[in-house]
Amino acid sequence: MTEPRQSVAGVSPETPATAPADSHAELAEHLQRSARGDQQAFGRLYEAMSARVYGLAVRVVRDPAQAEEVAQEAFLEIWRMAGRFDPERGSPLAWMLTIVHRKAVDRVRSAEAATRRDTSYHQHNQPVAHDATAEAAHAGLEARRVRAALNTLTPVQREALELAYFGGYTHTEVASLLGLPVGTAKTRIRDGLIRLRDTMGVGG
Amino acid sequence: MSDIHALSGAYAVDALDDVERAGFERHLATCPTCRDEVASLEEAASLLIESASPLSAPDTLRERVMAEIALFRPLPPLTGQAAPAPVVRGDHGHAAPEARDLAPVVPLRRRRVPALAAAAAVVAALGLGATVVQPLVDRGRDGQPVITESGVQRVLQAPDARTQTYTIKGGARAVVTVSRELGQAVLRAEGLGDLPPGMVYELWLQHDERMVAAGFLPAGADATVLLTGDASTATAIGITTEPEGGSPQPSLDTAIRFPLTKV
Repeated sequence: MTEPRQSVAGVSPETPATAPADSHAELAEHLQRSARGDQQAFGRLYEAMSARVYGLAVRVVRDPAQAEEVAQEAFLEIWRMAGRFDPERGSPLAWMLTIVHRKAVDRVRSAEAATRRDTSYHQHNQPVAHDATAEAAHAGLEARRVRAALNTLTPVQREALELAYFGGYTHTEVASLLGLPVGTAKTRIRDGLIRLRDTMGVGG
Repeated sequence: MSDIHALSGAYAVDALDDVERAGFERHLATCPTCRDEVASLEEAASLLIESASPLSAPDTLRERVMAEIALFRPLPPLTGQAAPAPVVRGDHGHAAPEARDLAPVVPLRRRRVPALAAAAAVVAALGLGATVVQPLVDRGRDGQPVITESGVQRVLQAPDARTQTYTIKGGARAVVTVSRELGQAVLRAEGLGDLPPGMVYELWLQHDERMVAAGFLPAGADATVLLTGDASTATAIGITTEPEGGSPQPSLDTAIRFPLTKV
């Protein structure tokens, strides 16, 4: 549990350098209790995670109403799957955000056929007021470190990664958007993630 | 094939299409190196949101979430070796004979029934004893499998999930689970034959007389797929073979169609 680092490419359960407002240990504890049906613990988990969960959903699906649905679905899944979170395999933060991201991407892709994302983006893009409290909680050192780490990526790596992660595009679409030969965007995305991982000292 | 490792990053940020994703998950099941790499890259990806300007969630969200979770029991943990095989429940938790013997296989939109569909009409109803659908849970990533299968899991475990098994010519089977409440359907295909290069199995949801594209099956292997699109009122699921990338309309001469029971 508290081994500082696993040797190979394992994921260290605690990565203090990047622990957000709530430490990984606390989040893991909330998850554990949630798995036993403790709704209060889940409430605390919600408090700790809602800005990130909703923020990620909005970044990907863009439409606030749909983002709220995605966030709700993701929270339900986190609740139901809480007992299957394995701290040996990764941080609670990554586990939860992976769930959210997958749902957001699925939503944006399945919605695509009906309405072009750009349309709904322009229609619904009334700036959602930034909340000062959330801002303060988030935008500390951590955000600056991540931005600094992102600045070490090549422009193409960064753009490919952001189009994939926040845009919800497939690597093939990313290649096309960036005018890269098919098959190279996936490498840029991977290289970018590896650099981000190594700069931030997470996950191996 | 050797190149498949290179998909780890795209997988970690959900930048694979459905077919690639399914293929990579099969690879993950056998490649610990890739599993570790994916896990570490997901850690990295989870930091990206920190770089964005934060938004706070609307107040209504908390109420909705807390009200909803009160309705569901958290799933039991996976207990390793002897994990009970996830049983796809039919109506009320019976593992048994939802095995719908064969559904009539009919051509889409009452057209003529050429080649494959005609062949499919020969389908024999196998007396399938039980609809126990195999390891849906543990595919992909050991340890934290459900992330990748979550949409599938959610349908399979929905209280109103109904599972029907259809037999297709040549021993192939399709196991279809629909949750009308979730509006989603999962299809497990077994033993569908390989397709020529450049062709894919495309899935469809039928709404009245309209067929709506609902994703793809990875070719040549057994696969479990969450159909995209709204299944809450779909009347049938179809499988056709299409050129890679899919078609705007199903190629009717290759259609296999599975009618769904009414709500």
